[in-house]
Amino acid sequence: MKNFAIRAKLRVPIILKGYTTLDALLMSVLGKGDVSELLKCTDDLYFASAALPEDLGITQKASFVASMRPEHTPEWRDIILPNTKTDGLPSNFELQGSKRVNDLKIGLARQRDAGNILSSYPARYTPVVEWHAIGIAEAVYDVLKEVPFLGKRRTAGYGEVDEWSLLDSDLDGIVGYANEPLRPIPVERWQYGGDWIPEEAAWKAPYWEVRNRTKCFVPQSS
Amino acid sequence: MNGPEFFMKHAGYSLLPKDRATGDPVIDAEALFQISISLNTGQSLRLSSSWWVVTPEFVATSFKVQNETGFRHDLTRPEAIRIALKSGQPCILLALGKRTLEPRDLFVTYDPRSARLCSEGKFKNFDATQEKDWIS
Repeated sequence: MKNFAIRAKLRVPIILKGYTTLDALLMSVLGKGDVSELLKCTDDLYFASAALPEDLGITQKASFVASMRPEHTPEWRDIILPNTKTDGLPSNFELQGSKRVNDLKIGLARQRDAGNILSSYPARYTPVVEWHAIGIAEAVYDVLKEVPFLGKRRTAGYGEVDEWSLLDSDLDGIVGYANEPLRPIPVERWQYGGDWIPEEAAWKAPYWEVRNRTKCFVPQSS
Repeated sequence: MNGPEFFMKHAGYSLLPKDRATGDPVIDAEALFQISISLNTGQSLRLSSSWWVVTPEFVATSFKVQNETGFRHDLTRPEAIRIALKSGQPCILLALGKRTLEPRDLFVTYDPRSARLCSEGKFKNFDATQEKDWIS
């Protein structure tokens, strides 16, 4: 295993939420929770940085509407039915004299009536996203070279990758040139000093698991 | 220590009935957010529509819990947040609406330069040391 950097050249803005560490990216591509055969890992901590976008400071708002209107998709009625309080009745059923028979009322606009849901994200303009790590560089490249999109809302076209490239690196995926953290790392395992700001963050996989969150030093740019 | 653990240790276990506690703070926090809690008004209400400042030293809230909990009701929200952040102790800052809170929504603030105001399904980071009244 050796130090390396892997770079994704992007065609379009990317929506990054969280730290998107290289180990997490590989886990999601390979569909498994352990990539220690590809990346160095000591006591659950991978030597793999968070996604480090070249920050141009330019963002755009990306908004998406999810519609659950049963007028458009009648099958939603059956899906919503178990969430209603009155079994056997359609979810928009109203008894005479009472407007609150069911838990969920189907409306046209409001979110609480199963109307449209608007989600907004900041999308960053960045030419490249980079990761530093210790591992088997060629094997990591082989896994990622076919990944066409990165980040959230990639099915809508955000985060399209133009090209992947493998680079040499002096960094180990944990600490940067200014002794700054390159990924979330528990404060008790941080040996490099500096006045970094601690935050609560998940430092090991699975990153969605609340129990894996603790007081960490985290990359400030992500 | 993660958010649910911190919240349950300093505030949640005072509110959760003992027979509902499992000892796992994440499961217990989830249970706490689902139940109705007795208020000092005689009514009961799910944990919602209120603000909370939870520290190891004190818990301040606008939620009208019964007095036995020892939670403080004499502070305004800005006062409570300022005291908590200036103490240098970790704290949880919560602003709740009507939605049900989830354990994953709870984050501990460890440093006033990255204070995290938590809400249902979202949070907002701010640098409290840049606020006008920080040095006063």
